[in-house]
Amino acid sequence: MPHEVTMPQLGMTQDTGRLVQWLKQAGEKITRGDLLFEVETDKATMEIEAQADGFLTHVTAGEGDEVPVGKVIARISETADAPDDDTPRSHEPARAVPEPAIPPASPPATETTSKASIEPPSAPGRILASPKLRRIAREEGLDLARLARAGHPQPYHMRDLETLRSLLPEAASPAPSASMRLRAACPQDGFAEFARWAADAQGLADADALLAGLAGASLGHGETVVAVERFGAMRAYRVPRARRLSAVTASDDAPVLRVRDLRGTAIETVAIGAEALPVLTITQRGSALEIILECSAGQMDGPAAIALLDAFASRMREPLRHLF
Amino acid sequence: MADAEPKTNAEDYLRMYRQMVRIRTFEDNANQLYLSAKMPGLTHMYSGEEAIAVGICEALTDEDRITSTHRGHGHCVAKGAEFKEMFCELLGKEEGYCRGKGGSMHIADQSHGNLGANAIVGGSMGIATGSALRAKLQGSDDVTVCFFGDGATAQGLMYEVMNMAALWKLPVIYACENNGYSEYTRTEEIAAGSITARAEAFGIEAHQVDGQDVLAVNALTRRLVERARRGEGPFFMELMTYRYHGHHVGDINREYYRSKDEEKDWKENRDPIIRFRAWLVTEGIASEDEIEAMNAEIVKDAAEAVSYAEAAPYPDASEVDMHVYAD
Repeated sequence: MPHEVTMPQLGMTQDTGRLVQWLKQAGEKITRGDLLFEVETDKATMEIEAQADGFLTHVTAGEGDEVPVGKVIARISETADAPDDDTPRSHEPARAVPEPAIPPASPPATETTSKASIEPPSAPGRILASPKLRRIAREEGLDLARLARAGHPQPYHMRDLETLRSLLPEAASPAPSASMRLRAACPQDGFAEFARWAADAQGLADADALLAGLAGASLGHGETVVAVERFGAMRAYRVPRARRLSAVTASDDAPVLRVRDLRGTAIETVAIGAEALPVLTITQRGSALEIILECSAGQMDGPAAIALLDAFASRMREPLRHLF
Repeated sequence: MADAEPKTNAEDYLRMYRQMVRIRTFEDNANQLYLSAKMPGLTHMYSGEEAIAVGICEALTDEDRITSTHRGHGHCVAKGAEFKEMFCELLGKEEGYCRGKGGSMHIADQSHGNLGANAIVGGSMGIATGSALRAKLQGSDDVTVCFFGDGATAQGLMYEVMNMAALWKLPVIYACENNGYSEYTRTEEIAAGSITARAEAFGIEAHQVDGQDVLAVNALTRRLVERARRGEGPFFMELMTYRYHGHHVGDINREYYRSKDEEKDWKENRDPIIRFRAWLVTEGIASEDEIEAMNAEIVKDAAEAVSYAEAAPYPDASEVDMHVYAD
């Protein structure tokens, strides 16, 4: 009686296996224990040994096919030209699971962000994903953080690969021009204490006005309007050319720069992409601050963005620098 | 092989051999059922370690209890379970020992004193010790054997219960099946010092024995069981053995942590069934033909039980909350 070769079930959550390649050809003589074929599961690629002696016949699964576990993919028969028998076994193509349409050669993710990008965007924290998915994502230049940003629950497995690939075009077409993201680390938050001092000693109780003043002055081009956003609420301030913080006043004019203050939230970092105007986002980790500048190349060129972020981060670390 | 004790007779030896072959045959079938996607969940093969389950369980009565592990089919067979009910359980069928709810890793056979497998590594240590405390409180003379692997010696529970068992002189035997690998890591890389010394720290008498020698395991267990019945327990055994398959059925390409040569050496030179078979023939207890006939009968039994279980009905949906307790 011929031995049936099936797609093996190798794990608890495995429904299908991808036949990577046959290591023996149809008609070839097989000895039990020979490596027969290679299968790829959601976790690993494994070599499967033959469980019987004989000749490989009735091969119904081709290389690259995704085959349900338990499905017969070949036989090991007593002769190389064993005839079909009457039992209507699975002779239909074993491709029961349709091959998903894979966009050919997805462009590497690095191309999706601007050449001017200093740091590729990434979602906060470590992404939980299977080693295999990590490897393939790396090979294809896909950023697993996109799945996290799109709201897909972690951990990610091979079954999420298609979703990840499909996310690419959407993320690859940022609005008018490519976005820049610059990150500055501020080991010490000098601003909080400065704001307390300004309120107590100088009567400048509106800390947002101070924040707007420091950001506006960091732009370095005279009078300007800066918005401060916190918990979705926004207030704009006019920052005078003289940079005096006591002269920063509330304004209804359109801002040219936005400061998004996420201190006190659980958010550790952001990668939102360019918005209608350049955005400086402040997040807090312990006593340290992280400041992200995101803008489009049309809004600001690289050197200007670097100068803005550096000046603002220096002021946040040591507000006295504002005086110089 | 270790010297046989005089009171055992040829029938006992043949039953031990038969039970070892039944375990090996059961596992061969379970492995195929799993790989061919007929069995849900995950399963772990006992092949290679048969002399431990058989050597120990043959020293016990149905009144004595055992607790088993995730690699528990061998314990279940050795403690007296039937193939049909076991395969039914593995396939989730109504006639299984737990009406299909337990499966491979939660099978229990109370009729023979098997309190159950346990998917949690080391998870049954508290249960076994509790069973021994029950025996002591009730004044009954049964003994509980707690099976666990070398990896489970990293569980804190083991040290809590060994302390209690030693303080209260409980009739429990801790049987550490040291197969050399804690999942995918060599045990010597995860366990510092000596395993028996862990028990000795609590004043528990500990023995190390060749787990591939069914007579040695059986002789030691019989001595310890008798003493445990007299209130001299607890005891600890470290049984040196080897698992032929991977950690679980899907762990088939293992060269990255364990060489094929090493596996071959254990299978060819230290196999408990081959060794015992040779001893039976040399001692004139059975002929090669008789042994072959016994093997063939077991293979046939297993094949019939598998077909029976495959055709058997699943439990009715109304049973979904039967034997399920929430308190």
